[in-house]
Amino acid sequence: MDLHLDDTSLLAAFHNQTTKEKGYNGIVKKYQEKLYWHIRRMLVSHEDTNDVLQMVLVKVWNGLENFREDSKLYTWMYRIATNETLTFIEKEKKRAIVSLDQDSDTFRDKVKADAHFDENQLIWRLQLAIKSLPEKQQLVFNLRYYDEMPYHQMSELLDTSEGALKASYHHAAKKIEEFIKSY
Amino acid sequence: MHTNKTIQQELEAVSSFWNTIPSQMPYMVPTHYFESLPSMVRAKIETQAVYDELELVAPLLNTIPKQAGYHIPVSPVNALPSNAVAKPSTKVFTWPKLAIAAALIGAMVLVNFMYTSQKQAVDYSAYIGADHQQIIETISDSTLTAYLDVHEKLIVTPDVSDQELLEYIQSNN
Repeated sequence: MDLHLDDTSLLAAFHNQTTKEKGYNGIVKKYQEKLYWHIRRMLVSHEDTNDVLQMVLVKVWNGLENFREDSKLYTWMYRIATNETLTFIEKEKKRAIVSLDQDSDTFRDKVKADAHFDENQLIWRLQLAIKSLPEKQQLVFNLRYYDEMPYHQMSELLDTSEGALKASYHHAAKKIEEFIKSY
Repeated sequence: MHTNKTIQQELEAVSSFWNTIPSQMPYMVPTHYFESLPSMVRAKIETQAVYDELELVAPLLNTIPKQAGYHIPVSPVNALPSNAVAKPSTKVFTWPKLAIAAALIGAMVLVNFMYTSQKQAVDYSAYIGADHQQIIETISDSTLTAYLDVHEKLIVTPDVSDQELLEYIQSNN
């Protein structure tokens, strides 16, 4: 299936029983990298990202039959990925509480545990700074900074007004700047 | 650097600091991960379908681990390669072979029985035709007396009087 096919063609292929698998594979191949990085920026670890991404793509397979094309396929998949990622983070937090490991910041520790981590590099300090933000603010910052997502699309995805998202993004950018300067 | 000029300008408006920050991600992805992901997802969809089906019918079964409880016993013989162990030869008995063996055994038993019974047979005709008077005359008187002493004691009843016997019979009638 051609990766450059538009979403409408891919969805038409999916809804045809003879080309259903090809249509689905086309959708996966087209969006897998974007979804992967969307999740990885939040979860840091490749293994966790892989688990969540596979779960997301299974949900996409199950939900595509009933997918209403009043929203963009891309936005719909991002919403599933966002929800699954936030659910995973909540589970990790609960697990940390149960294991009496409340003092440690799980995801910041995971950044530091990366084999290539180098705190002298700005690129890694930026990751630590992003991890110091609340999860929702991390999402907004990542979607705008890395995915370059327009506010109206982000608004549809996160069910938040464009004005609130813009304020949140600017606030996040300032906090990150302060974090890096004081590190 | 950002491909979208608007986003870059927006950040620069917040602070000039953002000009110095690269926008690449430092994390690495395993080689060929994205090539293999669609097939991994297909496998997961199949597994999920099996799980969902059982969840509707008998959800308890989904909580039980699928590992088999059986164990293969560990022994030095099992550890050896199969061609290193000499297999014992197994004899196969078929019905015709068994029938021939049984007939032969039966014939041998019959022949043995006939032979032994022939040897033990008493020649009664010799007794019938014998002259008993002549035989007795050849036996000495002392031998005869000794014979009668022994056998008379066996035949004679214990030392009970006629009177005692009569009383015993009357009391039991």
